[in-house]
Amino acid sequence: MAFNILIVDDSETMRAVVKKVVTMSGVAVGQFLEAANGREALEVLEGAWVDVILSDINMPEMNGIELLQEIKKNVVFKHVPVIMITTEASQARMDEAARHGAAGYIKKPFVPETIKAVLLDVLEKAYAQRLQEEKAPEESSGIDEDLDF
Amino acid sequence: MSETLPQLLCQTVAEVYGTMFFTFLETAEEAGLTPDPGQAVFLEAAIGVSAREAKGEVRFYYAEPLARHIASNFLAIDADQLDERRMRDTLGEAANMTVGSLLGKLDPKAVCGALDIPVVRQAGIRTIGDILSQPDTIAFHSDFGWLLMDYGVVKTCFKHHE
Repeated sequence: MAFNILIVDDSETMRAVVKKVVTMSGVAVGQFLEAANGREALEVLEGAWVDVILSDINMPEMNGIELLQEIKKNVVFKHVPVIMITTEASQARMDEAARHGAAGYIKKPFVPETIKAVLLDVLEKAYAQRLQEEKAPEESSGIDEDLDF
Repeated sequence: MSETLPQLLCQTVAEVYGTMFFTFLETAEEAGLTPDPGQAVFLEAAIGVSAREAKGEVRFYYAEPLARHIASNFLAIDADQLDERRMRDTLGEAANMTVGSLLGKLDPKAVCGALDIPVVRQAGIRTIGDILSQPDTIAFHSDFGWLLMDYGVVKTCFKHHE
């Protein structure tokens, strides 16, 4: 299974590096999508299937935390896991991101192994959650069928 | 934390440049070398830091071959294929990661430190001697030239690490 990954960073160079490192990590990628800030990321989400988002925090226009808030408010995108990429200085903002539903974070500097471990962990959890949510209505309809009126 | 600020600084620079930029840097003392004070510096990467009551910039000054080497390693492309925009972008990222990591060590809960978006500019006509004559500066040696760092604002922000 290959995953579509959206990389959000105001630095084109950093986006290119994250792409290279993800590729080096061996994670199967269907398509890389890119955005330079949170606003652009929302536009990308409107037009393409995204399995996971890797987002910087400090960005002009719409930062990573604001993007996270918008995603979690949206019925269609709220299940797309968001991994924040940041420096250690942003620990307070990471806690804030976790409160807003960030699925994980990667500290800079990073190595391919770290990216791979976090990505696979987050994707696995997201997949399990979806399965559970898809199963839940079936289970509840099963209960209804068992009811004897 | 028992390390002094200069020790943490050296540790952080070695970690960040070694991990992300595959560049080995050591202090002038460790290398047993003294930079040529008349030598010009090439690019300056500055990142705004605010913590507690203090605010200012941490500045990094690069020799041209070192700036090219770092960008070339980071992007995994030949140095002669680099344009100045990508080189500046890389040095901005390096400043962000280095100072971010340093603040993370000084203030793990990040209750009082904040970083701005880095700015990279030509270093003008300044020389290594001009920069090192300022207080709270440090020189790192590499096979590709010198990296100088002016960390005065960090010292002001975190006085207990002097």
